[in-house]
Amino acid sequence: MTLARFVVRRAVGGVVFALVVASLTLLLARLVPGDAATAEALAMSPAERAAVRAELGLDQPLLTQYAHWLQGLARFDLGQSSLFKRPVADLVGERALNTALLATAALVVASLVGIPLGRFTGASRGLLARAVRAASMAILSMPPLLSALLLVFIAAQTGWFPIGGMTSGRLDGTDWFIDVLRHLPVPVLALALPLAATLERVQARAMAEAIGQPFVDASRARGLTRDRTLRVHAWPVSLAPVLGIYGVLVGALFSGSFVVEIVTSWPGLGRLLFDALRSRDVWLVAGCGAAGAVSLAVGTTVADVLHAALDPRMLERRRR
Amino acid sequence: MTWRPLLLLIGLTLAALLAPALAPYGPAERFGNHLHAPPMRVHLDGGGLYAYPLTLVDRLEQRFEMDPTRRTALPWSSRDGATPVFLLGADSLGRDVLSRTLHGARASLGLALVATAGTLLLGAFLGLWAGYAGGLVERVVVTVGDLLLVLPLLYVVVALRAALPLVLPLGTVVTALALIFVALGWPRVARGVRAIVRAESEREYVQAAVALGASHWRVMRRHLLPACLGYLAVQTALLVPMFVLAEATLSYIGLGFPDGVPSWGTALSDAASVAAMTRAPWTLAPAAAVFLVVLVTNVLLEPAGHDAVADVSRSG
Amino acid sequence: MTRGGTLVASLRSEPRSFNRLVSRDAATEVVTLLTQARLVRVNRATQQLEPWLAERWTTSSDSLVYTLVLRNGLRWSDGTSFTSADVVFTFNAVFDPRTKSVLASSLEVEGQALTATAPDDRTVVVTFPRPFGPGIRLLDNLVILPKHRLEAALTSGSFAQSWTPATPPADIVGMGPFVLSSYEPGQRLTFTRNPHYWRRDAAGEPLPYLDGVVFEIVPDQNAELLRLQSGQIDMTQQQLRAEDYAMARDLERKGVLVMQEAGVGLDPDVFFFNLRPAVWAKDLRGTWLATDGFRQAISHAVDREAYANTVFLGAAVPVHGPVTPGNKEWFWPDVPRYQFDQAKARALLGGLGLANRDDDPWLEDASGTDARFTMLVFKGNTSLERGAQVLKERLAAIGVDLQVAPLEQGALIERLLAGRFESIFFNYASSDIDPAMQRDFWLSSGSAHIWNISQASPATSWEAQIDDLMTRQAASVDSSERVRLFRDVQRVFSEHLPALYFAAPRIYLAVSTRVRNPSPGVNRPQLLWSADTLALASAPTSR
Repeated sequence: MTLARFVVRRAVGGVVFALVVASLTLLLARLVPGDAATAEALAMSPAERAAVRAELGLDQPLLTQYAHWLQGLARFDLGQSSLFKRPVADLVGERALNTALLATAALVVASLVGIPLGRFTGASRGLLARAVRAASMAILSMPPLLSALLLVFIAAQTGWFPIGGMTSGRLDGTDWFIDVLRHLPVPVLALALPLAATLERVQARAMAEAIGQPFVDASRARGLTRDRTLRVHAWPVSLAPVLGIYGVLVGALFSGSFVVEIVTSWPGLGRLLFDALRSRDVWLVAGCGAAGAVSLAVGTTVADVLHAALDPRMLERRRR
Repeated sequence: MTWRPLLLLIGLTLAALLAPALAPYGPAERFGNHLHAPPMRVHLDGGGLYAYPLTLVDRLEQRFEMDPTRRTALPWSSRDGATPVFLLGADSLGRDVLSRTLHGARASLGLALVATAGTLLLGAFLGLWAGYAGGLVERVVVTVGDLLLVLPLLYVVVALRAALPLVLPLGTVVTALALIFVALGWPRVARGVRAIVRAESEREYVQAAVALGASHWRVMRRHLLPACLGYLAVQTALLVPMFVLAEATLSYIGLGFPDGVPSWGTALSDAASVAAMTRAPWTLAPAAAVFLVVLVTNVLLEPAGHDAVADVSRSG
Repeated sequence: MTRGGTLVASLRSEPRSFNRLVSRDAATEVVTLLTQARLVRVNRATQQLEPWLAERWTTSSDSLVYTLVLRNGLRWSDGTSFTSADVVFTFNAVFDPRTKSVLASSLEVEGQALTATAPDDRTVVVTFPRPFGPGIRLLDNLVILPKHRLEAALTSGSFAQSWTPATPPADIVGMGPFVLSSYEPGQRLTFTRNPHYWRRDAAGEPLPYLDGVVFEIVPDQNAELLRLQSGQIDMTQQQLRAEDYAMARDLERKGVLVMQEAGVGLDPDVFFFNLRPAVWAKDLRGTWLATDGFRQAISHAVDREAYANTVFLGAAVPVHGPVTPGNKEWFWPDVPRYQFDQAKARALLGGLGLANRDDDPWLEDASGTDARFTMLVFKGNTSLERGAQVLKERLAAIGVDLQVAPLEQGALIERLLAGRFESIFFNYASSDIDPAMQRDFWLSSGSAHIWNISQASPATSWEAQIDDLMTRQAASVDSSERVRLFRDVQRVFSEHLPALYFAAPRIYLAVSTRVRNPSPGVNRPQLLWSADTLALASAPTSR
């Protein structure tokens, strides 16, 4: 199978997957107590409440609502948000880009930090390796809410970085891009730290395993230096489990951005989803779910393509 | 494995099991005049161990003053309701952090361990199967796993909560939470296992085993599973703290431990405020407890090939 | 007062609409306070009604017809003249069924709408269908919208969808001190001075003092506090939690911010039982659990001082009913009280047939059923969480087992509406201090009559009595008679205790030291309700 065909197949699969996620989300929303008229119900008479529900189409059977939503979908219309009284597609579009920026940056940082550190700690038992390992474990022992808050707190105490938001809103001609770059470190770190720790642990373990295999000794016997043995032979072997969890990490990014976006006031999809869930904004939840599904599909495809670049056999379908 | 981590493990297990005997106070015992009281230092002289009692100076600002003219015996020897001794300070309701951390160990750790075991079993099985069989099985496992990653968890739990009675006994909560954790956690394990199995199946020795007519089951068990053990060990170390902390998240939606059962997760989420972090950092004590557990898990699951690491390091 | 500068405040959530007629969320409300105006307004600091777009008014002898005279020469923020036609247009918009306005029911008396006519450009005649005690105080709700901008939308039926967050800010025109100049979703709203704003200060200086206002959207309270500390914002939208007080006090000592005490909060946390007779018909515990005596026993069992000390770190006052001392006009200091008295609480429980008949610590009724019930709470609100712990403890002391069941907010409200609960502990904000404007709480037919919502006819005789008293109270225009009738209401209420109250927190606000002229009120937005007179110290920097 060629790379192009692989990507096309994945793209089709991703779209179908997004549709399935959105549909299941709609079904779930029905099972949950409460609807878009619940939050303000104490201020409404039963008649008013019924009117609101009717206006939102909540009084119709699930199948009718679903058919209606599917019809809209054919025109790229994801429905209307009951919370913001705006098209879901606009809202999701606005925010998805911000989350994508944050998540990509976090994933890159986590990989650049976690994998080399893991390579190091997996192949060394020195004091430094122990310290790195302890740091990873400490990060994993903290609730994400707490570590995000701690970072914001440090930013506030030191004044090194802006402590929240995506831009400073200054209209004095500061370059938008530079402004965003200044705001990135705190949320990116908050999101990347647990991921980096996870990658470090997985990579360290895989590395240590690889070193234990006979071929490492063989290479050493052939007179290769330690560094070269580790880099050329042990490390590539250890990458399989590391690449294997990238799909999960993309998913974790999506759910982790929930907390980070709220604590650091990042205007992303996670926050939007949180608001939508709380106020039972059915179509917006489905839209966010679909966006999450698409980003997961993109993320795993990219991971697989990278994997394929390292190991071309990956693309070959095996059947037994 | 050296004796130190083993001792630590024994210590932790004992602390969790013997919490009611070890903890100086009951988990729900409240001292109204000691909200956020700081940890107290223990002194020793001929008369034994003692501490100086704290008195409230400003309730709103939560300021306390030590009274060096009086002595209070430690709560293990004699109990005095008016002058409690908090070795690790008090939480926002005036409860002893040490006692709550000890009492919280059983439920928090029990749940995390059960859920981790379930997640590993299910994840390893599905990952092995998917990676080995490929084709439709693989696609189904991967897709279902992805679905679980992106479905809005909040709705799943709220819907589930609505189907359960209002007041839940601890056993039911632990079962429900463990099931949820396993359902949401297995894709994480399965993905990695699948990747390893795929890479491993291409290796000569596996191909050879297949060619020699070994049964699928035998190939999986003898050749592929051992290759994944290291990965599973790491996942154990990652899942345990994750599940300890996840309980707190779900308690926000109403599916946490019953009221009165202290948990590390809930204690930490209560401590996640600027005020607590700056003015009562001792309320973060359960994070240290989680750290100890992670440490023990990591050391216990040290890779078998670690001697090889040592060799390479030494000769490198 | 120094002119100029841009004040930066935080906003917890985003506005759902810029059209106050269709949305009642807190963010829409505060944006509207900045950009729009009403005919009359309630001064949040004094809680008194004062002239606003209308400079004066007269009342007919039967108190049904109010003739309001608009200020001369008023202009919308786009320069168009403001006339009585705009007021009539707004009334039409509110009562147009296609608008489904959230304000419609608040502008009705006994289900009949107020009407407005405009005999000339500067006169508006508002007619009530029947006498109404608060009178035009209820117009404080009604934001006047520009006819020249929105008439087409109203005619075509798209009014409910106009002025959404996607509308270009330039299209949003108002009579408030500021105009919206930009909205970056998820990040901030920026406002600049309305050049046509009408109001001047005592010295004749045109208001507002500020050049602009920025709302940074900060969804997390901790992050909000940190931004205040680092000087990135000048004020928060919400009061400080009691547990944040100490940190704020430290910052005050360092000269970073100043604390403002606004007074006692208006909406204490409320604990109530399900009083729908049908719920208890099949439940054996109904014979004691749903009785006045049981609730009276609970009220006696709670030491309100200790409650205030634990839950609000002492920054609260004990309360004995829904009306707190923060309500300057309607608080009754002599409202009947239940003193802390455990013996009395036990005696009351004994009178209900509850006694400890076995060796567990709980009381039992004659059939051997334990005195046990559940209380729903939602998490994330520290005063409720802590309050629930204290209540559990106090009830355990008199042999009653309170089981706290935390639920997600939506699920909790859904249970409240459907009547599927035993008791609930929660908090909800009332709209105005005048009891006649809280009839949805007091009347048995009301949507916020929380213990038994929207009844067709009152389930109990005392609810019928309160209905009658409240209807007369709302219809009376004699203020001393209204006070007397409302005291009667509170007397009946405290005898039957459908809802229990324990403490109302003092409201503290933290503002940057550079903010001048704050006049805090107890209800939200505590400071920005008077945004036109807020100022900043000295030469403003570009923040």
